[in-house]
Amino acid sequence: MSGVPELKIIDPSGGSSDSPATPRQQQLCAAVCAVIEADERFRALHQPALSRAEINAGLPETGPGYLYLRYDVPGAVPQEFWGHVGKTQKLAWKSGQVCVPLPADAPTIGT
Amino acid sequence: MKFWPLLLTLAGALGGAAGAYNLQAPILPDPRMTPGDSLTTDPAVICVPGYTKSVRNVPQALKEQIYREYGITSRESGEYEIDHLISLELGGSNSARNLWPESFQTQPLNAHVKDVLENKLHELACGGKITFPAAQQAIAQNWEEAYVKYVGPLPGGVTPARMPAQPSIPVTHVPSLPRGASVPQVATPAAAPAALPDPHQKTPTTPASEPPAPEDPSDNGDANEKVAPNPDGSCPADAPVKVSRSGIYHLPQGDTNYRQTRAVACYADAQDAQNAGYRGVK
Repeated sequence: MSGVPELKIIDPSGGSSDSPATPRQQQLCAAVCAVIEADERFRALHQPALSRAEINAGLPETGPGYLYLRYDVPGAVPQEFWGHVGKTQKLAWKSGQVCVPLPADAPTIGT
Repeated sequence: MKFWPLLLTLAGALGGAAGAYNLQAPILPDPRMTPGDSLTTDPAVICVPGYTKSVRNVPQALKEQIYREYGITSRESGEYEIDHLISLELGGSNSARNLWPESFQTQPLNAHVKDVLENKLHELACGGKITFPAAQQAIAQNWEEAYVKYVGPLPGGVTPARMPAQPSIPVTHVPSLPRGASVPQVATPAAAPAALPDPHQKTPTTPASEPPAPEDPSDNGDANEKVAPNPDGSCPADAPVKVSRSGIYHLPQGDTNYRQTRAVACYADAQDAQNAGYRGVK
């Protein structure tokens, strides 16, 4: 997760919010990145670098599309993924959707 | 004869559907919600046949959220699509900032018309006639104006509309005002109301007050260290001071109006803004 871009909150009323991401949102982002970066198909990409991380705040954290991630791949198609919280860990490579479980007692309020 | 009831039912259903279409659906996206977002500008990537199929699809849940954000709570089959403002074939991304509901049913402008522009820009950019950043900027700024510039007159003789929040005037065209001067007319679209429009309001007949913005990057080499605002009206981090359309500059710290101010120009600090002739908040 080194060199990770700022996790931006996309406000449903328009534009990006100035509110910082909560620890739980950051935890989700880290967990989803870990799943993606452990995948063999991802590891076959040449020097992918995380360039964008956005929370679509209009969606619940369990909604597909809640977290948007983008990895730039020099000279190739950037890879977009969407992460959300679910019961079991799963990466659907074709759709780019990643589901990760987070503990229910994980922090939900930013400090 | 037994087919007549079926035909009548079908006709009734079709008529009902046509009557239910929202013909006042937005023709242009709300630039606050959909400023446009680029995935790549690399022709070596975008111009490869099959490129758009290599880009993933937007999750349906996110599409539904985009509809809700635009206030569309019900829709007919085939009425809308969630459109990429900067289309995939022009290197647009799947970020929510690049997505908006576009109607197929509004007349004379609709998603099919924008598709023509997208194809034309793709052809021009892949042919080396324009750059992908220029194509992306043109379609994100105002696709109707871009259509006129790159394709020709809009269908039905419609004049391109202009959104009040649209950063339509390149920063180099914003005049430097003397202290205490009033609204810079060049930077204020004459036909634009002061408030942001209802995103549902179709405004195809609003006359454009300015031609499409030139896209020569050399235009940005301006004096006074003036920096162009971002498409959403914010300023870049290295030039955070916002100048509003009324010629007042707003500082990021201690100014309660800063966040809601849509910049027409940005400066690194207050002194630069003052040197350019703008005044601070009283």
